[in-house]
Amino acid sequence: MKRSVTNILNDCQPQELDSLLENINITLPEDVDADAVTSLATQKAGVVHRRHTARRAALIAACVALLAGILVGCYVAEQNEYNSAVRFFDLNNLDTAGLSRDDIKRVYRDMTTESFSRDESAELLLQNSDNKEIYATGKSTDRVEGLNISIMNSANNADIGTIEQLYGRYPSDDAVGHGNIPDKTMYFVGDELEKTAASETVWRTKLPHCYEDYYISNGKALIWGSYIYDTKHDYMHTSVALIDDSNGKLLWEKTLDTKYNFDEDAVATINDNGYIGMLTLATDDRFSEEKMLVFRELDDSGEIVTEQEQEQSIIFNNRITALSDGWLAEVSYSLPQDSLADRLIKLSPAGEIQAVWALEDADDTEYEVVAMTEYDGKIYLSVQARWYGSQLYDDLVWDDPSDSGFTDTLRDTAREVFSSVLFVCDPDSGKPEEFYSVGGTMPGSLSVDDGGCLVWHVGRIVKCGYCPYASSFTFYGFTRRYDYTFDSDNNKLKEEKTDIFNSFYTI
Amino acid sequence: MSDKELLRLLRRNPAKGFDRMVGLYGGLLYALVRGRLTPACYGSTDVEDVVADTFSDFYLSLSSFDPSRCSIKSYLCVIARNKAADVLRKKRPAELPIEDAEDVLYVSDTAEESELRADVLHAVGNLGEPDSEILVRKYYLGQPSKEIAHALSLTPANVDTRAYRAVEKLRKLFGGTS
Repeated sequence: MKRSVTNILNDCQPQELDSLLENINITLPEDVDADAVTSLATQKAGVVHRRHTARRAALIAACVALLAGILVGCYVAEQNEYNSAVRFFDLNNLDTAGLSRDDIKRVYRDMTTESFSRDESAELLLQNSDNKEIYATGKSTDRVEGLNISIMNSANNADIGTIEQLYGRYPSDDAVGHGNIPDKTMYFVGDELEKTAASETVWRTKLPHCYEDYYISNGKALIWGSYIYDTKHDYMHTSVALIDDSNGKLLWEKTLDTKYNFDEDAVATINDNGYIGMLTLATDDRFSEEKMLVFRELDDSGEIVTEQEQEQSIIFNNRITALSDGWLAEVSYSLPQDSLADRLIKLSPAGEIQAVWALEDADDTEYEVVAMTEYDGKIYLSVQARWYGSQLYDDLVWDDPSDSGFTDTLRDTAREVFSSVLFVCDPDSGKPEEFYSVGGTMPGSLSVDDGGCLVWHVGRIVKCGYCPYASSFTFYGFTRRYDYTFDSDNNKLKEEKTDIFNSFYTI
Repeated sequence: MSDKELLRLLRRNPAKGFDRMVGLYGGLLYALVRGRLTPACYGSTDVEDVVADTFSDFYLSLSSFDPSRCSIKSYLCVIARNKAADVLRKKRPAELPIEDAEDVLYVSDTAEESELRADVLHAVGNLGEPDSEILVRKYYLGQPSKEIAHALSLTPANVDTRAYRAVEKLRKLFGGTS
C-alpha cells in the first residue's frame, strides 16, 4: 500500500503533532503585515482591535493628502457607517421607518456606544419592546430613565444577539467583567486622541503613534502605548507623551530607549511631584517566558531620571500608582503549573521591588483588582473575588455548555460566586488590608464625592446568562448600581441603591 | 508565553490576546497554509484570509479546547490544515497522484491507520535534527527548500539531499517494495 509522508502527517491529530512542532518557530514573511492579519482575525471573531503599526498613520496621511481621495474616502466611510447601521437595525429587529439616513446613523452610534443620549434611541427601544424590558445603561434621556424595563431573554439565540449588540458584546477594557467603571473621557481612535465631555468632542489631537492608555493629573494627560517601531522584525517599543488636557496640545513625546527587541505592556502614573513612574516588560525573544520588569522614572519634561530592570516571572502589568515613598503596582505573576496570580508589588522610589503581596487568603478564591485610587493619602483597591468552591457554577458550564439565556438559577449561582471586596493599602508600605465586602456583586470604580468622602460603586447582579457563542465561558448580564460611602477612617456612612444599570460579562 | 497564559489573555483581553497569538503562531500557520494553497495558484490574500479564519475559529471555540490534550500550536495547525483543505475542495484542483510523490512510503496493506501514524511520527522524530525538522517543514508545512535552507542555515541542495535520504530511511524502516 502506498502512503505519502505528507498524507500521513496531514491525518495527524493535534496531540500527535506536539513533539514534531515543538521546536519549529517561524515568523511571518517580511511582506506580510502582521497587524493586517490580526485585524482581519479579530474582525472575523468580533473583537475590537486597534492597529499599532506606525505604517497605518503614514498610509492614512498619504490618502488624505489627495483631494479626490478625501472626497472618495468620506463617501465610502459614510456609506460604510450607514451600511453597518442598517445591518445593526436589521439584526436587532429595529424599524427604520420615519428615520432619515442621518437619524439612522446617529441612533446606531448612540446605541453601540451605550450613550443612549438621543430621544430617537429611546423611542425605538420603546417601540420595539413588545413584551421585552430594556435596561437603561450609562447615560440616558429623560424618556428612558426611570423606566423600569429590562430585556427579557429567552432561549432564542436572536435575543442573545440583541443583548450583545445593544449592550456591547465586547465592552471596553475598563468594563471587562465588571460594571460601574465611570465613562472614559478620552478615546484613542487610530493615531488620534479624542477628549469628550457629555458625549461631545472637546478636542481631538493627532499623535505620532498609536497609544493605548492614559492618566490625567493636574491638567495634564499622560499617554502611553507600544507600537511596531521595526517593521522588518515587528519589534515593539513603548512611547510616552504628555498632553495639555485643556486643549489637547502635545507637550512632548518620546520613544523609550531600550536594548531589547520588545519593550511593551506599559503602565504609568504621575506622582505628587509631577514625576512619571512607568513599568514595562522587556524581552528579546517573543517566544520566551523570561521577561525583564523595567521601571523608569521620568521628569515632567520626559527625561529619564531613573531606570531599573529586574528579572521577574511577571507576565502582565495591570496598573501602577504612586505612594508617599515609592510606587505600588498591580501585576500578574506566572506561577508553577502554568497558573497566574495577581499580586501587589511595592517599589522603592528607584523602582526596586521591596515587597510582594497576595490579596487572597484562601486557595479557592481568586482576587482581581479592577480599580485603584488614592484617597486621603491612602491607596484603595476595588477587587473582584471569585469563589471556585461552587460546584453548581462549574456544573452549569461543563454539563450544559449551551446557550442558557437569563435564568434565576444562574443569577443566584453567580451571586454565590462573585463578590466585591474593598482593600486599603498602607500609604508608606503599600501593604493591602481588606476592610469591606459585598456579596453577590461586581466591583466598580472608586470616586470622591462633593463632601470629600470615598464612594465605592458596586453592581448587584440582577440578571445572569451564559452564552458560549460570545467567547469561551462567557457569563453576561446586568447589575444594579449601589453606592457605598466611607469616611477617611474607613467607616461606612451610607449605602444607596440607584436606578442605574450596567451590563457585565466575565468568565 | 505558555498556552495557559495565552488562553487567559485571550479571555481577559481578547485584542491583546490576538496580538500575541498572531505574533507567536502567525508565521507557522502562514507557512502551512501557503504550502497548501500556492501550488493551486492561490495568492497571499487567500493565505492571509485562511490564517485569519484559523485564529478566529480558534478563539470562537475556546470552550472546546483542552490544553491538557495538546498544544495551542498543534491545534491551530490542524484547524489551518482543514481550512486550507476546504478552500482547495471548493475549486477541486487536480491532486498529485501518490505514485508520483517523492515522499511515498510502501506500507503493509493491513497497517492500522492510527498505528501507522504513530510509527511514522516516531520514526520521523528519531531521524534527529535537522532531518526531522526538514521533513516536517517540507512535507507538512510545504515550505520550499530555499526557505528551509534559510531557516536552518543550510544550502537548498543540502536540504534536498537530507530530505531525500530521510525519506529513504523511512522507506527502509517500513519495508515493502515499489
